[in-house]
Amino acid sequence: MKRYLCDVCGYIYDEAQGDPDGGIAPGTPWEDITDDWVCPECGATKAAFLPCE
Amino acid sequence: MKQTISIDALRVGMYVNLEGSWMNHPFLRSKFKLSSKEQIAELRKHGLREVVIDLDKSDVAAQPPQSVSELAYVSHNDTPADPKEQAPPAKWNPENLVAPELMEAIHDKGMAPQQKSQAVYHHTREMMERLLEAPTVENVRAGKEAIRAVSELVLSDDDTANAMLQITSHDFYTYTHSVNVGITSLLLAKAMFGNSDGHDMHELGAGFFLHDLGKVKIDPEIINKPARLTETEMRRMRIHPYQGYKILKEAQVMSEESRIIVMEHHEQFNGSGYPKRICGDEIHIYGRICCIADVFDALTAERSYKKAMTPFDALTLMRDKMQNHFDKKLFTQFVSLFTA
Repeated sequence: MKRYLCDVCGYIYDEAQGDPDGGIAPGTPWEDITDDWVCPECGATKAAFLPCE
Repeated sequence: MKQTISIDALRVGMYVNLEGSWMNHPFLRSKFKLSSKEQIAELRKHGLREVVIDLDKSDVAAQPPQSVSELAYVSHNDTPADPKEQAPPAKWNPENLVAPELMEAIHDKGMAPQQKSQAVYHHTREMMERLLEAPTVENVRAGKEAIRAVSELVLSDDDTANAMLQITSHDFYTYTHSVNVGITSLLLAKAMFGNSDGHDMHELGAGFFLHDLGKVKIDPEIINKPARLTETEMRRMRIHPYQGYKILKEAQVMSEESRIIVMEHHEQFNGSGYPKRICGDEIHIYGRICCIADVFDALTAERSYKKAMTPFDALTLMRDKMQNHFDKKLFTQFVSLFTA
């Protein structure tokens, strides 16, 4: 399970937890999230995310 | 056993040995046990980055330096700490945040510009230092009101404003930088907009002075690091515009246009800035103004890894090497603030 970090606000998308409020079930891999999903904290698009080092 | 540690790793209960320090420290003795967080702040204030501690005489052990990957992305101030380390109850509140001398100096019609500028600069920095130390909603509101008064002075009293531009000093602190950028941005905005009705200049002033407020959410180990930041640390640092915007939005103290300054002051004209990487006119003109003042102050300030540049050298570098970062028209106007 990987984690991705929003470069705008610092929110971390954790694949294990998903984003249930945004319609993303726990366990959803990053690649399976559609491009219209936005950061639940600041509204940035997927492009603003990079893998956590 | 003696050990040299970073000022950031100092804790109450450690026995420090300041003998041989290059600075004149403010304490009566050179060797003593730290009994309060204020003492640590005092050492930091005097520019000390590393301190020798005597482990045998200390109550607490030195912690190995935390690696950056273990640091919280956003600093959580509510994490329970060792009781010995707990900060005293909020020292700053709306009653004592702003020194009465600040308002007295602002409203003193008889004070000479030189004297007035020094008093206002000193007390504004002091207020900003307190605000960044205790950025509660109430303090942000009270601080903003004081900044409005300072802005009014900068906008209405040219002699005092120009004197302030001359006396800006530079140190390692975010509060000094905040005040410098606040003053220079406001002067640039004034030069651009004059007395046109379309801009609420006092509201703008608050945005300029508070542009770095989000740094309170970044781990102090990164803010105070006495060296260039690594890419990982930079990624953490780059969230401060959004975090500052968020604090102001939650405190409901400023107009959206003014908060935009905080959000966009690191965006660059060619799109190579952050956090949103927008470019040109997509960046609000207020953000473009603050960006120029911000870079100028960073260049003219001394850092542990670089010397301070003179204003002339900084402006030359910005013109020759960073021309795509800025709105050209604004930059030309900015240069004329210093040459007029």
